[in-house]
Amino acid sequence: MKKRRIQSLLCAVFLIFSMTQFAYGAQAPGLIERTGEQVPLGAEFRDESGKSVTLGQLLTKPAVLSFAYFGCEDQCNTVLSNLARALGRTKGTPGEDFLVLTVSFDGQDTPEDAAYKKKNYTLASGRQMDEGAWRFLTGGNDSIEALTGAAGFSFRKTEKGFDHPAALAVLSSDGRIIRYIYGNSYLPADIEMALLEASEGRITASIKKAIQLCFSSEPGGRAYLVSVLRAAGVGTLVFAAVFFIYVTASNRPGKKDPR
Amino acid sequence: MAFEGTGEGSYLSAEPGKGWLSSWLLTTDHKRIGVLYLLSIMSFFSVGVVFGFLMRLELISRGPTIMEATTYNSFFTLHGVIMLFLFLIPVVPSVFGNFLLPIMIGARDVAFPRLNLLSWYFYMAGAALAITTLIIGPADTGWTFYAPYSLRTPSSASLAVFAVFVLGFSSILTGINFVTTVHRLRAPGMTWFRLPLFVWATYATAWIQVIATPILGVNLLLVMAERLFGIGVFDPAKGGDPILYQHLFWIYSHPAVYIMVLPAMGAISEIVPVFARKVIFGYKAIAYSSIGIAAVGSLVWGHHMFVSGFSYTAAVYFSLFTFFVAIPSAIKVYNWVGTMYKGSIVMDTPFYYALVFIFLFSIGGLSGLILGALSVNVHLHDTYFVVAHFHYIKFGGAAFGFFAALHYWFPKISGRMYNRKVANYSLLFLFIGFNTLFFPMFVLGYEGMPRRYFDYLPQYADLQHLSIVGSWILVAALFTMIGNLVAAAFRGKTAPSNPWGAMTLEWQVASPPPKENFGEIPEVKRGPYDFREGP
Repeated sequence: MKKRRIQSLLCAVFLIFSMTQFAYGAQAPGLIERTGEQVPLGAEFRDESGKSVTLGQLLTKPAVLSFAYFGCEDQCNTVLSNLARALGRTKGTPGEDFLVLTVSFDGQDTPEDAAYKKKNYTLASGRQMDEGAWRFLTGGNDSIEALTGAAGFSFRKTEKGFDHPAALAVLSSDGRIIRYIYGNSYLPADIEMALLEASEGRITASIKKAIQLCFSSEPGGRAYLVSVLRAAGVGTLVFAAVFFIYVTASNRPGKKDPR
Repeated sequence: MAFEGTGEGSYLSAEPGKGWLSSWLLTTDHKRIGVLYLLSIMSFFSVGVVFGFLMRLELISRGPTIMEATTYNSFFTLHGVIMLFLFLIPVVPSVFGNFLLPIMIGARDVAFPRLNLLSWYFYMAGAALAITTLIIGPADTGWTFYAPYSLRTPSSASLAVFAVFVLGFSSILTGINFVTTVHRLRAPGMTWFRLPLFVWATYATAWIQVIATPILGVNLLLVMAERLFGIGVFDPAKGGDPILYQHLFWIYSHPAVYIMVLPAMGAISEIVPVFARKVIFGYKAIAYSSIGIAAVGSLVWGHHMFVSGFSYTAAVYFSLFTFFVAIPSAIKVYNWVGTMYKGSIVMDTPFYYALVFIFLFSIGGLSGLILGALSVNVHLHDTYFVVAHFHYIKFGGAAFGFFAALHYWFPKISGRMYNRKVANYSLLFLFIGFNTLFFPMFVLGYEGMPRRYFDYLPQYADLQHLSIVGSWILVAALFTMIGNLVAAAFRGKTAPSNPWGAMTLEWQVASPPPKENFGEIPEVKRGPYDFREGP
């Protein structure tokens, strides 16, 4: 009887582990690395003045590619201001040694929004930049999907905006993805290192950190979870208290040989 | 005060009616379990050292040298998991806590001897699972298993998470055992303030193990549930919150640093008064500061999350509490130094190790204050500065504390004496190697070298090379130090029962201690550091 119970337990554990790989689909907002692959050079976008440009025309040097939507109230701003701050301190000069491309994945964003963001963030970098150094691009849904798909970024429209990952991709001048830089804060050396690899055309594995996502959070909607955790926490503390009372109460130690 | 000579022979002698193997693998003797832990933990430590050494070697030239970037990423996950979960967290409590705690309080064994053996089996099972992930394709999540990446990676993260979960159980069982033992099995006259400070430290640690480890367990269970059934606790795509994962993770994992460091500090608190031949300065302050570190240390987890999109107010409070932890730690350091002041210091191997611990730990602690400051943290976050800081704390602190304890209690455990000259020279080279390896990392971090990279920019090459040379010295010194002890275990001179002239109970029994520790349970009539009458 006992043996059978153990057997079925082991089977269950095995089954659970074998199922692991299927529980997650690709539709979730996130990032699937496509290092070594080419971004669509023919995809058309509008620059800050509304002029139509293709990625191929822009990519004359290695480039840092970031995605944002200009109506974002949260993570995109952190990403862009941290990127601006890192750019202000890199050894190479943006525009001369490399380019920065920020592409909006919201088809509703306009070149005016882009121009406004550009003014703010180039100013935030504290560094003089040429007109072409940091481009803020907007485009139609087709171009957006082609580019984000090729770069492995997936995002999802929600009531309040978008759920999307926070990360940079670094491209070589021929449009291949060299590596990703995860997170929302960057060291100048992160960018310099990736650009060096891009100029050498050397594709490397990214440092897999937590993929940070930007999402609108509604703690109220997860009350069930918070109460589960609260119950678990109270349970642990009650256990600790009962245990403390058990070990201190009655039967004073040291009175007799306990064994 | 001699309790030796029970006539039963030492715990190392053969048990009648039992084979050699079963007498070890099925033992419920706390001393034998301690030795089992020592041997298994040291084997995993060697594996961790090899990974660390190879990672350093990879950086000898730019670009891929001896391994590819993905291999390097797997190596640092394994180095981290092995060193933290298989070496640092269990090492001092499981080895010396098991071996010494019952003897130090005048008991024959821990309160739950079978549970104690079970905890070793849990430890080995967890370790085996962790090694399995290495064979079937290592997890690439880093030792933190941050969600949502850990939820999605196709690597063997489930198994790695499960391994850590099992190891957590081992830790909880040990904690429950020690707390109960200290409360219930103290010898007559062994009042709370006659407990050796190592017992206090182990006791405080045991509480952290009991209270904090279940949080990690729950968290990892949720990660597994999420990977298996997609319940959506941490995954924002399903309305979950990845920040919650980080909170739960660090609520355990910051106090875990104190699980590593506190017992090591306890060992230092034993060594310093013995070699200063003086009652320890501020006994109660040290005892309470152990509890203080355990308590305040539980309130600082947020400082690992300053850049995770955290409310500013919360960040300020976490920063403040982080400064508070420095107080009980500093109390200990001042009291050790105060104990040495005007003591009749006997310079000997364990004391040298203790001094190196104090020095390296202080550097680690002070650099931690720099990181704890919110403003600076933003610049140094994720640079080599952080790597240097936690190696000074974990290696320079916890591991050197363990080495000190090992050299102090080795004669008691093995009944043999090691070659002190070799031990002293190994320490000298350990010290040189350690600082050559890790000090340049402070400078590299300050100059902006990001951590975790398998490559670096040309301007960092010189310091990287210096650091690599340091790793060679360090590994050679480690090899000599361990070799010296292994040789002594087989061929060393027989050690007397009390080679250092200490006053605590474990030195009043034979070396190695008899099976039941004491012929008759001793009655304790004085404090643990009362040297007036001599041992």
